[in-house]
Amino acid sequence: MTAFSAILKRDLRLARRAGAGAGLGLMFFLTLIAITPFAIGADQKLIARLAPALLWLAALLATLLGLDRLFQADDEDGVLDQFLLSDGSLTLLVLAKAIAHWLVTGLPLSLAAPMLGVMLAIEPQAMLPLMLSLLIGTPALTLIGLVGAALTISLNRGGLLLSILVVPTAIPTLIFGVAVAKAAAAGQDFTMPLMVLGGTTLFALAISPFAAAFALRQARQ
Amino acid sequence: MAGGADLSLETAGLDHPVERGMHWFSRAACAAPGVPGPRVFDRTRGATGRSIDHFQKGRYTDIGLRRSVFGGILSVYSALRLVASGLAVRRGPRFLFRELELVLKSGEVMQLTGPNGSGKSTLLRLLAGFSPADQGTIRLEGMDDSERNSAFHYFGHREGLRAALSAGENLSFLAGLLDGDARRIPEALSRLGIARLENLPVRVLSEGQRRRVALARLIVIDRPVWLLDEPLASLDSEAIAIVSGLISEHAARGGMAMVATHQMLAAKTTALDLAGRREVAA
Repeated sequence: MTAFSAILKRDLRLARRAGAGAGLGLMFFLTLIAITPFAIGADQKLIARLAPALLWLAALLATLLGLDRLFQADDEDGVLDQFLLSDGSLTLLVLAKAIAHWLVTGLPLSLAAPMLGVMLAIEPQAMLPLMLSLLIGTPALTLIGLVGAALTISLNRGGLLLSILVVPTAIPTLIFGVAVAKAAAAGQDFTMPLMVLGGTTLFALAISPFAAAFALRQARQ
Repeated sequence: MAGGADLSLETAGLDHPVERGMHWFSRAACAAPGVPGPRVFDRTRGATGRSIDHFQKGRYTDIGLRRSVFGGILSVYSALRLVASGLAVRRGPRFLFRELELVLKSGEVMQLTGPNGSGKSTLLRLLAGFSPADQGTIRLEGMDDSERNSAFHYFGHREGLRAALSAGENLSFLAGLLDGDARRIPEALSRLGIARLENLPVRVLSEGQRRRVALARLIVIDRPVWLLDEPLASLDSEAIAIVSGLISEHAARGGMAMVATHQMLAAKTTALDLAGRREVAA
């Protein structure tokens, strides 16, 4: 457990130093949402209808941004070798990295979403469900991206391949995330899509740390 | 180490290398957990009044402590043997080496030599368990397979430091990751002559200083098997003497080390030369 908390602490510290490109995702998210009304025009109804989808798309892309560096930086520094000499299982260590990543990308952008929702004229009753859907759904994005980051670790320009690998598997999360916000905006019951969304996150949580650890071990050879 | 401050080299005023070394042994020897024993004696100040329990470290209990006395020097690690047999690594159409046999016992230092590209780094990474051999087996006798990971120190070309973090932060992260003792960081840094760099980001350090910081983890994290890949590269003569001394002390405490270097080490070494082992595969 000490290894787990050591990684968590270090990654959060690195994110605070801003050297690791944390904050970049949030900034991208804010910028994308802020300029969207200018691109679409003054049709408030249209913007409001598109808002859940826009927020979710921006969240997906913001999470992907810089994800390819998640393990690559550790690999280049030789820290990844030390991961393999740790008592803790690599699966847990990888999970620690995922949690740290979500805390500095998924969490802040979920919390910022309602404010941006105002800019997109979203229905007031949909604000909280939207935030909830992002809070529950963005961990899945990070976890899916984790596997992609581990698979592309030895590639120099892994970012491109990473998006191709990750985006298709993130589609279920996207569909049900948007479904929650849409149902809430229409005043309907959104329990069902929310539960399926939670399901995708739990599924990713159960599989991806193992898959990522396996991919990292393979990449060492 | 709770009593570390009382016994640090500076406060103890021990400058002579031999005394430093002995000082270190005596402390290491005092690491027996739960064993009531003689009081630790600090030459400059008399008895510190602490029983050796005070200097207990958790690490040794995991490895299994053997308190055998050889001429006054205590071995703090259980007897281990790193045995590799029939080892082969294939790179494309040829073998880097084949049917390589090696045995490394507690207290031994093996110096690994060979021309560039002869497989020194590859061999060390194999032994560390990072990659599988194409043929042959590697065993660490005297330790459960489940504990295997926590027996090794691997020090390679990429030092394992993050440029954005300070020397102290890097070492305390590694101590957490590898179950070391973060309280020994000041002592380790001063041993390597870089105490004043503790709070500087690694980014601003010179190559040699960076490597000193990275080598400090050999002290902070106590592990019996050291696999060192060119540990003396980019070090100045002072640092070379320090690191060479660390290796000797480690061996004297019952640890073992495999060092890929072409420089002379202070410790008595056995040699393994990888030159001329390249073979074209049949």
